[in-house]
Amino acid sequence: MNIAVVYGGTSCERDVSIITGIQALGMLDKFRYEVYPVLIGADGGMGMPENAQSIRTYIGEKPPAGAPVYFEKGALCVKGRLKSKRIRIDCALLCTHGGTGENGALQGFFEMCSIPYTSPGVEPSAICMNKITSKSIFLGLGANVLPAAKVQRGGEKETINYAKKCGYPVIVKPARQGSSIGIDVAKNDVELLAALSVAFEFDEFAIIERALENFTEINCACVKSRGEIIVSSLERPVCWKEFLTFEDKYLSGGKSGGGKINASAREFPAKIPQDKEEYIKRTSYNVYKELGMKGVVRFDYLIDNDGGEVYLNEANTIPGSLANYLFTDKGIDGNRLMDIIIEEAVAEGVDKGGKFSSDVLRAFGAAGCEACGTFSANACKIGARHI
Amino acid sequence: MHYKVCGRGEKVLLFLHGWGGSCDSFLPLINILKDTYRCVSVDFYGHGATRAKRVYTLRDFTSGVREVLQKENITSCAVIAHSFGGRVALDMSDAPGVNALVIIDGAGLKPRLTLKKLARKADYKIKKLLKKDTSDCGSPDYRALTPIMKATFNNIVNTRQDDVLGQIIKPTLLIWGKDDCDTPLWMAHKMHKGIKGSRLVVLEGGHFCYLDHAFEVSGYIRNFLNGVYYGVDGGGNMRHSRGGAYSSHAGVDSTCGIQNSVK
Repeated sequence: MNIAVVYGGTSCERDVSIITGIQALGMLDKFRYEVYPVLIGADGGMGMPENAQSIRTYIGEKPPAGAPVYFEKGALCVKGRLKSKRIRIDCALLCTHGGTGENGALQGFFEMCSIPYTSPGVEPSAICMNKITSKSIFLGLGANVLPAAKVQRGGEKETINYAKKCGYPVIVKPARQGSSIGIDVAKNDVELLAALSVAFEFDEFAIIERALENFTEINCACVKSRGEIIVSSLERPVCWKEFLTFEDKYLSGGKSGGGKINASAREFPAKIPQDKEEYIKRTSYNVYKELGMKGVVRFDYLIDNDGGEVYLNEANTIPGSLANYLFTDKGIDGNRLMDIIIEEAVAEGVDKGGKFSSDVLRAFGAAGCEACGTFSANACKIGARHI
Repeated sequence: MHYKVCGRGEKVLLFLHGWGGSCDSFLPLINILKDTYRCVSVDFYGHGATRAKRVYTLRDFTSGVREVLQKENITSCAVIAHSFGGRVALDMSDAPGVNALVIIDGAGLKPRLTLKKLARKADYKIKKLLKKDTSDCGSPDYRALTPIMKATFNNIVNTRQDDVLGQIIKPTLLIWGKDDCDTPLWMAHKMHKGIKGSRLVVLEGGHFCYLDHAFEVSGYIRNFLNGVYYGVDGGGNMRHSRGGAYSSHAGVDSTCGIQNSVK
């Protein structure tokens, strides 16, 4: 089976994506899969880097050496000096975090190419990427979310009013960024304006909500295996300052030398009250199911330790490290998880719509000729069925 | 037989260490694999915390391991064996509770006679004939042993298991160090050829390559066992490692890599 591991990309989370990509390359069973690494460059171009599994390949100013590649229907083409080589691809394993890699764009690209891919489809990807849309959808699905407001450039005044109404501190996030990038907590008007200008660096829309001061973060992932949704046990990232910064989330492992994201401090399975655990698992299951997701999706929750409320904060449709460590207590290691998502993607395929034949064109052509020798402006009127 | 158990999971891994090792010889692997597997690691007779009470044969070692499995109520497991442990693994390969074998630089095949060995043998024979002191003969491993273990060692090294290979029907993964001096690479190829459907992974390193590449080796073990327990789906497109667009050992000598035995 030929697998293209797609990673990199143009988003802020490019480096994290490369780490996930390297991890996926290492976990795939080389006896069963012929693995083709496809790195999306910072400029958007695709290439197949040499020595893809070594992190050193990606360090440095110059992009890694390798043949340029492109996708076409069902295949990956590797450009050679004289002619390009066409490789049939059975599945694309997506390790692209954030931006066009996670917001449905890349997913749509692979649908156009008729290549099955391992992340949720265009629609759920697009919904979950946008913190404003996702909140209303989650709310509609019965999940508890923190009330929030959408802010546009120029809406600073209203934002300050909103902040005053819900009470400081507030948290400001760019609407379509992941990984805590551009997120800031503001304790007063001045900080709020500063936080907004940072958020607007990353997106034209921002979201503002009441910042919980005493809270617990809980992660829960879902994956579909042979049609059945598996809900992981809960994880509590332990390492906390005022909130999780980008460095904490991804680079804390680097300081200890291993560079393993998995090694960052956490409590797994997390010990939280049973009713909250059940609520989180049920909500994750519902959202995953109702949005018709596939692949690994990690849901991030916040528990307000003062009020005891549980809020669904966000859903990551391509989580860091593909959340491979969250299923280990179920006997599913990262390697098995790769098999599961590939198997599911291939089984589901991309051609979901049925075949539809129509004679509109023929009728239109005939009618057009009959009438005046040219095409009529209104096809419906001249014999074609109402479409 | 003394043994240690750690890790969680329904599936059990049974670790069989090499000669001169102990249940802790596999610690780096166990520490990685214990997140999804229950790991049982034994101390063979005369090793670690298990005392040798008499002279043992290979069969005694195997039945000792079986007793451990019974005591732990383990009815199904995968065996991970290194060096001498490989002999025990080959010996218990027909046991119904063994689902799969992972043999890392395993022993058991008849060694080839080399000039060096011939010279050593001749030296020993002459010294014996002339009734001279033979205590400086034999490998350092051997000389360090107690008389009981010396006799056990003789029993073990004189057990040939070349004939067992053809009878193994269990899925088998062979992991070998390219520069292994104790159980040279040709043994891996012979086992690979002899055991139908076996997988062979050749790594950089010597007899203890699994310690140098603990993460890589555990990855191979996980993938292999996932194939055993969940079945190979969709693929079946087994391949030789050479010439692919991408090799996990890029930049490494081309003799390293993975190979599937022809079915």
